[in-house]
Order: sequence, then C-alpha cells, then structure tokens
Amino acid sequence: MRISTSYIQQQSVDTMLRQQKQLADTQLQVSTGQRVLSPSDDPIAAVKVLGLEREKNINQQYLANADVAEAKVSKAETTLSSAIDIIQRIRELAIQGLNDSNDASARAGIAEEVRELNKSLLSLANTTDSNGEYLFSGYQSFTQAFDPTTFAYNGDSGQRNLRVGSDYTVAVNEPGDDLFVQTNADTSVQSIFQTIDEFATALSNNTIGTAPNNGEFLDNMNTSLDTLTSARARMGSKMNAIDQQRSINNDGLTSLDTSLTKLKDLDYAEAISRLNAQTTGLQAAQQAYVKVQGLSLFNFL
Amino acid sequence: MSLLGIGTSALLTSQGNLATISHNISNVNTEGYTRQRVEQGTRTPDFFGDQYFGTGVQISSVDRIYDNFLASQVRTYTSQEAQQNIFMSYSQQVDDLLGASDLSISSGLSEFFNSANEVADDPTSISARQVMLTQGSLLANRFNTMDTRLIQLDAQIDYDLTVSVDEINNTAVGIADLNQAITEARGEGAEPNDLLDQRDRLITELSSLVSVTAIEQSNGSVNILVGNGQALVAGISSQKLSTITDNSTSPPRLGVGYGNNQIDITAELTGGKVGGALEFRRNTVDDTRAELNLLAQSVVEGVNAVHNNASSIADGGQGSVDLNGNDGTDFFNPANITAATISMAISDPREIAASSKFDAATGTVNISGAGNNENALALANLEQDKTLVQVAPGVTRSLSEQYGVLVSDVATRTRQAEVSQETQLALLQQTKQRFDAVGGVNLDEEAAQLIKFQQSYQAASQIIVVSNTIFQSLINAV
Repeated sequence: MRISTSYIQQQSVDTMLRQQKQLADTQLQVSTGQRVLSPSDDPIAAVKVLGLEREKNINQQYLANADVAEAKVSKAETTLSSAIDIIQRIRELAIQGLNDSNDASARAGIAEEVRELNKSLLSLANTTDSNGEYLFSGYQSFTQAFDPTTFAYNGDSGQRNLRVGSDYTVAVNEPGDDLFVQTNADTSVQSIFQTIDEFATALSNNTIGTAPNNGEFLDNMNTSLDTLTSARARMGSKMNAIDQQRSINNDGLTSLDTSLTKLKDLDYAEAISRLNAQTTGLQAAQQAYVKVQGLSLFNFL
Repeated sequence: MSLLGIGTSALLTSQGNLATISHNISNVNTEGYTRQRVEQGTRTPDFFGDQYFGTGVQISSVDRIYDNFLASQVRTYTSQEAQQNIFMSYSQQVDDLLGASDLSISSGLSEFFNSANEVADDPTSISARQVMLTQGSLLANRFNTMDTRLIQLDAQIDYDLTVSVDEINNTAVGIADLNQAITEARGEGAEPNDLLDQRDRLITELSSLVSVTAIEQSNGSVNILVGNGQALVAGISSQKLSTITDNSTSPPRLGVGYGNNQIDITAELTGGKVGGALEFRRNTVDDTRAELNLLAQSVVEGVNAVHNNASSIADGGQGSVDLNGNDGTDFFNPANITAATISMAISDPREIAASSKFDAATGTVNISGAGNNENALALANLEQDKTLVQVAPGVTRSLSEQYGVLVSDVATRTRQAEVSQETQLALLQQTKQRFDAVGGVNLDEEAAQLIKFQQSYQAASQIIVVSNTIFQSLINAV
C-alpha cells in the first residue's frame, strides 16, 4: 500500500503528541502524588472518596464533640467530688454537735463552721464553666441554679445531649434538682442547703434533739451522699463511654485514612516505572521521526 | 506524418507530465490536495499508402486520484470527532469544577453541619453561632458560585455558536462560489481538479462545524443539507444560518435559526463543534444545574423545616426557639430557591434556633432555656438524613449522596466522552490514512516519475534533433 508523504509526517507527529500527553499526565500524577486528578479519571473512586471524606469529617466532628463533652462531664465530676467531701465534713460536724458532751457555745462554734461549709457547698452547686454557664441549672444555663438566700432551685430538669458517636449521645449535665433537692426522712422535699441551714440554726440556738434536727439529719446527709456518690459514679462511667466512643472514632479515622490512601494516593513505584517507559517511548519516537524524515529519493537527484 | 510533429507531441506530453508532477510536489503540504495524474494516449494514426502510421502522443486528461466513498467517510468521522472533542473539553471543565475541593458543595455541607454540631455543643456561645451563620452563607455562596460557573459555560457556548455560525455561513458562501466556478469549468469539457479539491476541503471543514449531507448534482455542483434536510447550499446560492435568542431558559441563551425567517433548527443540529456544544448544553449544563437546584432546595427546605419548627409537639413540631426566646424562623431564604438564589434569611447569631421549648418526653411546654440544644442537635443530624432529597416519588437520598450522584454523573459522562473521542480520532486517522493512501502525494513516487519524464523529454528532444539532421541532409543534397 502506498503512503502519502504528509501522512508519514502527520502520523509521527500525532504519535509524539499522544506520548507527550501521557507523559505529562504521569508527570502531574508523580508531582502531586495523586492517582485521581479529576473525577473523570476514575468516577467510581471519585465518588467513594467524597463519601469517605465526609465520613472522616463526621468522625472528626464527633471527636471534637467528645472533647467538649468530656470537659463538661469531668468538671461536673470534680465539682461533685468536692461537694461529697464537704457533706461528709458537715456530717462529721453534725455527729460532733449532736453529742451531748457539747455545751451551747461549743455548738454555736460548730454551727458557724457548718454555715461556712454550706456556703461552699452552695457555691459548688452554682459552679459555672468557662462559658459562664451554670453547670447544674438544666437548660436555664444562664440562671443561678440555687438562690443563695432562699435556697430554692431556679433551674429546670433539662439535660444537654452531645453526639459523640454515630449512634451515641451523652448527657453532659445533671440538673441540680436531681442532685441537691431530696425528700428528707420526714417526707419534706427541699434542697439540702435548706436542710443544712436549718440544722445550723438549731445548733446555734441549741435546739437540737427534735426531728429533723436530731439523728434524722444524719440520715438526710446519708441520703444526699448516696445521691451524689451515685451521680459521681455516673459521671465516671460517662467519661469511660466517651473514651470508648473516642477510640471507636479514632479507629474509624484510621481505617478511613487507609481506604482514602488506597483510592487517592499514587503507587509511586508503578508511576515512576511508567514515567521511565513513557520517556523512553517518546525518545524512540523522536529519533525514528528524524531518521525517517531524512529518507528521500530527492537526496540522490 | 511528420517527425517534427511526433517529436513535438512527445515534448508537449512530457512537459505536461513534468508540470503535473511539479504541481504534485509543490502541493505536498497543501491541506485537502489530492494528487493528479496525466492520462496520455496515442494520437489518431495517419493512413498513408496502405498502412496506418502512428502520429505521436497526446494528453487525454488530467485526473485527480480521489475516492468518493472514503472522502465521505472522512467527513462523517471529522464531524463525530469534532463533536466528541468539544463535548469532552467542556465536560472536563465541569468535571474539574465539581472536583475542586475549594468549590466543592460536599465540603461546604460538611463544614456547615460541623458548625451546627459546635452550636449543639455550646448553644449559648455567640461565637459558635456566628461560625454557623458564616458557614451557612459560605454554603449558599458555593451553590451560587457553582451555578455562576455553569452559566458562564453556557455563555461560552453562546460565543462558540456565534463564531461557528459565522464560519458555517462563510464556508457555505465559499462552496456556492466554487459550485459556480466548477460548473462553468466543466462546460469547457475538463475537470477543474484543484477547484474540486478546494470544495471538498470546504465541505470537510463544514463537517467539523456541523454534520452535513453533500449531494452531488449532474452539472458538477454539490448541494449541502444541514439539520433536518434544510439546504445550506443549493447550486450557486446559499442560505444563511443565524443565532436566535432562546428565552425559555434562565438566563436566556442562543439557538440557531435557518434562513431569512430564522426558523429554529437548534434541536436538529448534530455533529461537529456546534452539535457537540449543543449536546453538552442539553445534557451536562442543564442536568447539572437541575441537580444543583434540587440539592439547594433540599438543603433550604430541610434546614428550614427544623429551624422554623416552632409549632407544638402535638402538631408535629418541636418548638424551635432562638437565644432571645423567640420562635425559630427560616434559616435560609425560603422563596424560589435555586442554586443561583440560595441565601441566608437570618443575620444575627442570636436568631439561630438552637433550642426547643417543648419537653421531648412529655410534650408539655418546657421553659425555653438558653442551654437547650435539642434543635441544634436536630439540625446537625440532618447531615445523615437519608430522606432529605426527594429524587422521585419513593426515592430519596441524603444531601451528600445527591452531590455524589451529581459528581459521578458528570465524571462518567466526561470519561465516556474521553473514550469515544479517542475512538473517533482513531477512526478518523485510519480513514484519513486510507484516503491519503489513494490520493495523497508521495515524494519518492513523484521523484521517480520526475526521472521517468525527464528521460522521455530528453528522448523526445533527440527526435527534434534527428528530424533537423534529416532535413539538413535533404537541403544539402539539393
């Protein structure tokens, strides 16, 4: 078959152009380290990457949520621990004050200490976090949980839930009325600050011995200790749960990263050897072109 | 019977051959040129005495070596390759647009819902709320930008159409002019090879702009039909195409009209640059914009439905309420939502309805505490909601799934266009090679021919010399 001269020329140029394009693509892959440069390079992988990156993003957000949740829960836990210590001290003082060996002035002294401790306890119940939100006032986070003079609870029973895992939300606060308002032995419902304050008043007036300011007060303190201790235990188990979710999310991130790497990242060994093969191919095409173009019968006329 | 006459005929014939070979050589790089060959034959013999004596050689015709079938195949593939090529280059732009991470709706959605999560973490924090507002307007912005880019592509297609229609008109005029020249030349009794080549080249050029049908007439002219059989060239006259405005789309765009009445033939045009651009516009631009609009609508409706959900639990609401204690309103502008128009409805971070005033358990009014994050949590959960995008009755997707479908649609189409452009290009090159194998100039072949006719010319010169010598001896004898 005859071939036209311009076709020989055109064909060689076309071949070189095609090889140059392939070489440029490979070069771009190598210099970016990416296998898929635009979605059309591998539509299926591109969409998978979108999905995986979203998953990754959500996981990272869960981790961020977990940090917030942990900070809040841990703050509540330490606050409750301090509250438990104070109530235990008040209980010890109460035992001492109820002891018949004390006279009125000694009881007045003890009462003074109980009052001070009650103030500290109240301020713990009115603790705020770094945003100035009250820890124990439910959803009324800008309202002081307990009134310092009437000891009334001003919050509500709202519990803020944070999402720390795909199917897991954790309540980061406990409403103050669950923690510090209780039904006393005499079936009256009031905040423990009130109960303690009444006891301190009885103590300083030396009018103890009748319910509820007798041994019943100790029972009431025991009830409160039970409530707070189990709340603290709940906080502890929440921290554990948050930790568990965190490690689930971290594991998820690792496996997502692995999948993303497989989909997105370039196999350098393969790419470099491809680059070499393509370079050699282009050089060969160029040399062949120069050789073939030199051939002409006109050279001999 | 004259020796001089025979010698002269040989000289003239060799000259004609040499001229044709030189013409071939000089046009080796002329686009659309097909090689020419001299057909030569013996002259009518003289009857002298009782014998026929040869009277030399003559040129019967100068033909071009041309394969009509391959030529029409080249046109077909030129048209298809040009169509795929323009479709591909446009489609790649959309593909890159959707793949660019700084423009991607996908990361816009992620960032927006992350900010909703941050508000759920800290419903009273003004800065978290401000971030959510910013992310909301950035998300809207990404939609706007994406749509603007697609509209820009549409405008680019308008420009392409304008230029192509001009080129088509010029080419049509050229073909009509050549038709006239060719019919006149054929009246003289010979084929005007170079004019035929020029006309064929113009028809191929026309094919790269739009798919056409060429019908040869008995007088040598060619009629060109476009679209649905509209005559672009009929004999020596040509009709004009023009761009017309199509107001049925927003924003309006150009179509193609035929003739003086500008009959809309946009839908009938296929092949070539025009066909490719129109196909891209119909498929990719329109579809992608429609899918983006659907996504924008789903975002707005989904987010608003939670954000302005102020009715009571009994009525299916959840009593959304903002940081000021007011009922939640629309987060995004709810009126006539498209990707181009999506925008924020609120601008004050305190207006984000992060709280719910109803107790989820009892359904009774719960005093709306600032620390309540129930509505923000519900907003953040929309990210995973698989029912947010209503694709068809009973078929729903999550927001990110919808975006994934959009990206994969365009990516697959682009990939397809890349593959079929390569296929069409290979077919075109093969067919061109076969066409060139018949009609293309080969310099080595022409060099050999040059030598051949140089020799015959030299030999013919000797006939003249001999006839002169004979004549001289006759004169001397006298």
